[in-house]
Amino acid sequence: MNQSILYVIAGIVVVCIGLEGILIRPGWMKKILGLNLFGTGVFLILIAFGKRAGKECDPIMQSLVLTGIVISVSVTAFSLTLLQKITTSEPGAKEKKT
Amino acid sequence: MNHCLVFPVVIPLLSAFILFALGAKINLFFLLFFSLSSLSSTLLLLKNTLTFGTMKYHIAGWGAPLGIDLYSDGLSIVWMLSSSIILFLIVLYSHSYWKSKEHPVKIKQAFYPLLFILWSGMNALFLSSDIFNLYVTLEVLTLTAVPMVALSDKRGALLASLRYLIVAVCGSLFYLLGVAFLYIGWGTLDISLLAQSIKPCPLSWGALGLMTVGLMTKAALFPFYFWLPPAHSQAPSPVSAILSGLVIKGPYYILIRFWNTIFLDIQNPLISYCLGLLGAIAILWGAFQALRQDRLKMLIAYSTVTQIGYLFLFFPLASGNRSVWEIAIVFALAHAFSKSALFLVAGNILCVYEKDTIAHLEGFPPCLNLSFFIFGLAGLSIMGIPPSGGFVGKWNIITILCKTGQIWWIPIIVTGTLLSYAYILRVVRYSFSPKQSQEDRKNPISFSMNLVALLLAAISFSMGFFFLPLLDLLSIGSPFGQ
Repeated sequence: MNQSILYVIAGIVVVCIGLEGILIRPGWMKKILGLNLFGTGVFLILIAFGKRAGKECDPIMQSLVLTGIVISVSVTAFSLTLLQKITTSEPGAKEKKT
Repeated sequence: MNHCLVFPVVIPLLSAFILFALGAKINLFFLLFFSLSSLSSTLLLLKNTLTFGTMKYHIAGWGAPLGIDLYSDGLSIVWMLSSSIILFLIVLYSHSYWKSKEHPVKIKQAFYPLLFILWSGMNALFLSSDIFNLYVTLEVLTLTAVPMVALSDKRGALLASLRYLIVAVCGSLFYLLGVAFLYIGWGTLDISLLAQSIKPCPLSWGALGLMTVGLMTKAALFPFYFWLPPAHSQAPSPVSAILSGLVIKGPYYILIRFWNTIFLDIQNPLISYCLGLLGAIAILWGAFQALRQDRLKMLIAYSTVTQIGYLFLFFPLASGNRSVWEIAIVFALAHAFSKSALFLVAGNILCVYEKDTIAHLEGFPPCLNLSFFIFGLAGLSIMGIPPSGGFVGKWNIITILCKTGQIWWIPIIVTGTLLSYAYILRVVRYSFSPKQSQEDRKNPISFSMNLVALLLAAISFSMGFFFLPLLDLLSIGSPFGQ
């Protein structure tokens, strides 16, 4: 019980770090990393919730997180490709790095 | 007969894969075949719903607490029907649009598979009765809508699509947290089971807050609208029509669905008022911004911000009287049809001019005459002139406001309407300006492009005539209570 609360708190901290990256940090790379952290924090909270719900680990929560991870990977891959396209299309691409 | 619930999801998805495999061999025959079969799968479901009433399908025979259910009632059928009609017409339009100008072939190859996956995701969203499945469909919409914005290779479009992606995924993750709250509290993901068992407690209020914030970000309500105008205006015109007409309505549909099932007993009037207030700010701010834009597609995109404001104004109205939601649906559908018509007309104009700067429309060539007429016709619904769907919506809002004595909303609606007259007429007035000397140029706008836009505009304009049968269809399964 205590352990899972610890994980929930850790998840909330990771979510906050991710949101900070998205909302405050300049630069697209930081925002994409922030998005990733946000997602990871949400998954951590979900897994910790699954442990709290019953004595055993809840398999449904784990399958939800698995689906979420698949979506998160494709979002990250796509956003990185997009960012690469943006930086190469930039006129002075060499000097200005994100 | 229950199996017909699966077809609207599976057929567009299969079509997308086949179109992807066809690649450069995509032609009008294939497009017609696949879009007609997708449309007819929706029509088959409509026919069965009219005969048998609501239907439920257990995927793979698992059933509700563990498996995923598809469920169709009046609410989902009306949305599916309209979105299928709009997507079908846009497939026809885009075929001519890609041909009209020098577009690289790879745009066409990427556009159609994405469009059909979006179609499938849209239908799945309207049919799902599982809150996690709704999260997946939201992500399907995001991951098809964002690449479609990035189809036009301009740097501005790429930046707009990256911003759109980040905001939309943030919204989905907030929604996912809400899903986790509901699951931990009541141990199920099925909407109808949740609606029966949910009780007011901090956990359900947390879920309500997280889901509402996530969904209103994705629907572009006022403080979170900033991603919408660049993304919708930089995309190729058929894509803008899909995004503004349909994609932002997906999250709005989920909000309506939840407000009438899961959150029915735990909602607080204060939250409804906050949503209504944000909607009111969006109405004024969006219209004000639309007046200031010098590019046509930016103007239309800000008009979407305004119209989303009206849609959220229904939340405080419906807290005492749930039949108000029916009017909200009619208003949202009228906006879907008229807004896609407006963006398609903007596409016609972009075929003739290089840029869509509004000031350059002075003395436009005669091949644009019909396009301007369509712009005016679709604009009538945005402004709210009878018998359009926009009129039905606004008229009913004001009537309900007078009956319930909440008259302080009325000045906002009237001001918003007057501002919408101003920004629509800013474009339409060029029809009355003297024509400049005409150089002989080939008409780049094909017949089907005008026809599709005209059909969409005509449907939104004449919605006042068939809105009673629409309400009958909506009441199947009484999604808004008796």
